[in-house]
Amino acid sequence: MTIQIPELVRGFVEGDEADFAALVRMFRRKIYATAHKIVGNHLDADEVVQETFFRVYRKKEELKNVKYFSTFLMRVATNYAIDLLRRQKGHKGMDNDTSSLPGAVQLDLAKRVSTPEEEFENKRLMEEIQAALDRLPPRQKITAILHDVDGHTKAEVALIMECPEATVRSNLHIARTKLKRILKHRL
Amino acid sequence: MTCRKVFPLIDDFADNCLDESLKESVTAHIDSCKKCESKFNETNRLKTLLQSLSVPYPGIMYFNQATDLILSRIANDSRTHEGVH
Repeated sequence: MTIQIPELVRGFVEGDEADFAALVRMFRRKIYATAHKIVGNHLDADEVVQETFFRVYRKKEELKNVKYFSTFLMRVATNYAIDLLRRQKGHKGMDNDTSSLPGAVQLDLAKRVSTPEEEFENKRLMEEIQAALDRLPPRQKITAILHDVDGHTKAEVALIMECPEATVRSNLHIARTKLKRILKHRL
Repeated sequence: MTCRKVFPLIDDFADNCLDESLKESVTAHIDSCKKCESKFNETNRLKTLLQSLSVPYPGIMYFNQATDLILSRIANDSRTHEGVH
């Protein structure tokens, strides 16, 4: 029998540690992937993952509706990532070279690569997109990542970022305008 | 519709977020205006490019270790709080 997310969230809010552990296992990849795109390296993404689940556990009383667990989780993660980016403003991430990580497999890979040439070209493309995103201010960057990379709707992004949908639209428009300029040679 | 009216709607049009009547008007304009068609295509190409962004998979061992660390930190924190009260 498959346990549904709302049941696990209810259990977690009522103090069931096993349900919380199951939720961590269920959402850890998603949080890691989004965090990595925001902070741009493994070490900082790891910090976001650890802090997010720790903070969510401690803030469980703030989770008013079990339906919004995923939004709540993503909000805590993006807020922490914004803090991290602001703290590091002017400093480069510690581990931008991702080639040292085990496995050539990509998380939520959109483009499968086979030959070494394709692999090299794909890696270069990923680095270029990441570098372009890294040039945006935190809120524009996160809006573009949540909407255009991860596929959240504008309403979901507004809930995650606790802002009106009009702000999401505006941030997305500015982010896209800048990204078009930076990635012009790829478009 | 004029370019000036269509231009701010291109993002929502590319995201398929416009209501039917507006969508029809924008489609009709884009079909007849090279400049707006080019803006629309550029937005779509950017979206496709961004959708292809992926991150290196750190391995299941990483995820299991991270989970263990999170859970043990929470257990320690709970014990500390119990001790305080």
